Amino acid sequence: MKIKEHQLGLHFLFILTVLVLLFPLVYALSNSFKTLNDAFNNVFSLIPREFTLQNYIHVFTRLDFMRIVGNTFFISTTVTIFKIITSLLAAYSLVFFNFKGKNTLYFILLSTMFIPFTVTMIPNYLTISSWGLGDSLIGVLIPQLADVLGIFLLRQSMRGIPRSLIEYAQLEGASTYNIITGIVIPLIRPNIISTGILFFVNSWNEYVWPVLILKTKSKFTLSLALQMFISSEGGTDFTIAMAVSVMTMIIPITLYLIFQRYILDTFTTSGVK
Amino acid sequence: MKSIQLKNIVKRYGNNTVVSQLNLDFEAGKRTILLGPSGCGKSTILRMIAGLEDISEGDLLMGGERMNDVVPGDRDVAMVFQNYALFPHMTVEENIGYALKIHKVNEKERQDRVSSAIKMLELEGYEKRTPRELSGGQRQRVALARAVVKQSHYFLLDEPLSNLDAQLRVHARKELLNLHETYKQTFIYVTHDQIEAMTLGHNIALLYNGDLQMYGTPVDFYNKPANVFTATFIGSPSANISHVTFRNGRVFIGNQNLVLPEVWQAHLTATGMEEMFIGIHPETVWISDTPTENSLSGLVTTVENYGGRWGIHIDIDNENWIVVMKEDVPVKGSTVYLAPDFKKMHFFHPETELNLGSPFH
Repeated sequence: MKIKEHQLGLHFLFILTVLVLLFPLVYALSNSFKTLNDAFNNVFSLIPREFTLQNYIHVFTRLDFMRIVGNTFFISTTVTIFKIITSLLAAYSLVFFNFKGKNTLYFILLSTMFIPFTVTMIPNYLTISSWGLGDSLIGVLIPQLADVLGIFLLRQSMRGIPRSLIEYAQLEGASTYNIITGIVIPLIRPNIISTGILFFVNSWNEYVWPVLILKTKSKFTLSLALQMFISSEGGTDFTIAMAVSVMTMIIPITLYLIFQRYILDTFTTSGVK
Repeated sequence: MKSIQLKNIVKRYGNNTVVSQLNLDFEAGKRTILLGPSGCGKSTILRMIAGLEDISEGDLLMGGERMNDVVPGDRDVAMVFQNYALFPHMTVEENIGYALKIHKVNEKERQDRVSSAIKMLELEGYEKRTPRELSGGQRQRVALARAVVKQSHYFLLDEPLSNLDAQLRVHARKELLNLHETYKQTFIYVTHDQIEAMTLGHNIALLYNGDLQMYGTPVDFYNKPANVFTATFIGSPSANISHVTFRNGRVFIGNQNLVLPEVWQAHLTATGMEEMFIGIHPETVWISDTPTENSLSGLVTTVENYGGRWGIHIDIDNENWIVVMKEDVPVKGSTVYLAPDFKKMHFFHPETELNLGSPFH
């Protein structure tokens, strides 16, 4: 591709932005293969002086690492599935059902999006503990089974579906279940996938809520494990922390690479064409 | 086939009454057209029959049974939407077979019915395409095939031709007629286009502001318009309506008058009225450029070319009339003399605007 002269400045800016954004990732990757000495004496070099897998091995020997990955995966997947299901149902009724107070209800739902997490954190914690779910994965899950953001995003995309499609299906005797699974979901699939990825990554990276609930190491999620190597626990094992970081990144990045087409679609266009 | 009856049907949205006290019979196996300008309630009526809108008051009878509270899926209606409502993620075949799949018709029969509908509507070769890959006319045929395949008693069409261009529309109209001649469902067709209404309908119901203006055959609509609105809605251009005074056997228009034939004189005298509206179709007036006996004089203000026909706008003492003619077209600015065909004129009540009847039919 030929770059026109007047675009040169723009391209320079893009490249700079990409470098700035990529730097921490590459930095983490390179340091995860360095020895601790190397990392401290050779701060700015991106290529390890002596390449080592010791950091990764260390993570796997000192912790039941696969279990932590499993915990994180379990929480993120469950949260994502539930959020998508609840958002789909809520969005469908907000778009295609007529009932009194529909708009008021939607307004109230939306306004909860602006309540900071810190406000609901303590009441949620107290509720979960009083149910005896403290220090359990289920306890982490429960307050996260629905999300207004998902209702908002899916409602927007469903509004792009012509009402006559739904009416036609009703005329043919299709049940609401048939309509949602046979018509709505296929039509807004890209939006559902990208919303799902958003939920998955958010849940994957979540730190404050799991840290409040989880106490036992075997129940930790990746972001809590990462913290172990940076703070008090065994001093600052910088290179090990980087190895954990790299492994924490892998799944969301892979997901993004697989589904990037849908994600771009959703954020650059809207509705059903 | 079964008939549909509306008995005192009312539709309200909040305080807004869209349809008031409507009584209509849709004869079994006949094509009835719901005609009217946009916002007259015709689509709402169709949607109430389909069950897509609730009925505020009155009874909807389908095949003699009250259906007000029956869900759309159980009313056995096939409907064609204005935008066709084809599923963009399904192929032509899947779209046509959707209803059968929902009704769990077995695979074999489903395929038979779908392929005969595809054949009927000349969609062979397009089975695997999605609606996006079809032209407007093809999409419309898929929508029809989808309705045909259902083999239901009632066929509801909501302005199905309005998204087609003029040439295609003529062809599609013929296709619709063939389709109905084959299956003879009770056919209800919503349109704002009088040509479609006249060419397709056994019966026409003309609506305005949620009120039935006239119900009758296309021929009646032209020859015996029930009221001023009907006369102005039907015909292209529509009938000329002027306020006139009837006195001493003459009708006075502006400063001029016409002597009415004796049968009209007797008929109008019997009504006991002096003030009334006259209605004259543009095709029923003779124009000449020399004064003739018993004619009105007027000034030609505009001449429009309709292609093979001309529309002459004439100012008769500040009344604006349109006369349609095929040859010997007067020029703009000239004075012409108009002699209407007395057999084809109408008189309307000054307040109720109802047709006062004619001694000729």
